Amino acid sequence: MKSQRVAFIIPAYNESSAIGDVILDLKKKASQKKIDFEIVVVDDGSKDDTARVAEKSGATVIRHILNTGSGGATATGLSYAQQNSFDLAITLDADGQHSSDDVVNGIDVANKSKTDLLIGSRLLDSQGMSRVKVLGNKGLSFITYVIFGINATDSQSGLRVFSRKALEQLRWKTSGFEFCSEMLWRAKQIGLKIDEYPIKAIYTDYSKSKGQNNWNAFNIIKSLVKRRVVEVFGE
Amino acid sequence: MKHLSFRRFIFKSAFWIVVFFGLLLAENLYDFLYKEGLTQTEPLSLFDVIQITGVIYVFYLVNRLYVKVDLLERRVQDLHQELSIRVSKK
Repeated sequence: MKSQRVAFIIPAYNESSAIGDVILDLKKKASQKKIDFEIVVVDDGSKDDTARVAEKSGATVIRHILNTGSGGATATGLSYAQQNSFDLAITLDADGQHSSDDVVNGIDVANKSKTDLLIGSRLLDSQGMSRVKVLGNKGLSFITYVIFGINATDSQSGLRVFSRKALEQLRWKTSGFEFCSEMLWRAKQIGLKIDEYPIKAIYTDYSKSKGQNNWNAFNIIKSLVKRRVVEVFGE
Repeated sequence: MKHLSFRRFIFKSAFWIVVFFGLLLAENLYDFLYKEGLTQTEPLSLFDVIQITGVIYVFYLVNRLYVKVDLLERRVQDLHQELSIRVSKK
């Protein structure tokens, strides 16, 4: 039986201090499970050595000429996976927030449940997350529900597993952090099966300084509402 | 995409039908509201109607422009994405 080819997509911006460890740990876990994989780092116009460190650690690196945002970098990585005929693609954060065990376990969960878009939810078991982060993420998940009608406990999670069908059909239009919510909406529009599985959130001082803060939520909400209105009145 | 286009067709058709009947029956509606005491505003002059129509049309044009700019932005993003992948493959 032909083994499943898996692409691990890591969008990264100025992550030279963490990306090496993330790649090496993931390589070790994936090799232990005898997965046919490729790690793809999308360097989103970093000003530091992210690309060089990622290449040295053994990842395939795609360099963005311009910084486009998390959504743009994720789209590039998934496009690469689709063009190279991977069976599954998994996105994860470059700051070490996701455990490699959870990333690799997502493959089994996605295969068993035959899900097209599987989200690793930090809120199904929120141990390790600060109350502020829990509140912020629950708030954005609620906003995602109000604007798009999607019921997800952790709409902002960066750990997602995409089936071949999702790689071929799923597209979105925003390129900042708001793409997390828009992606779910687009998946629902085209009839993809969406599900969640529990993951651990690993917060270090470094990873806490990255990612979204709760004030950024206002910009995300503004962008999502604008997108929704444009869809209603536009082409 | 077909599903989206059909919904958009329905929405746009409904929108323009409402606009059409709104314009067609505006005078009758005004007479009805005035007779029932639901409005006390003076009837609009021809100049007022033209002015309001012009303002609404400007909003419509702005929306169309915004949609075109949005589409252009996405095409540039797609181009950038494809270029980045091809350059990285070399």
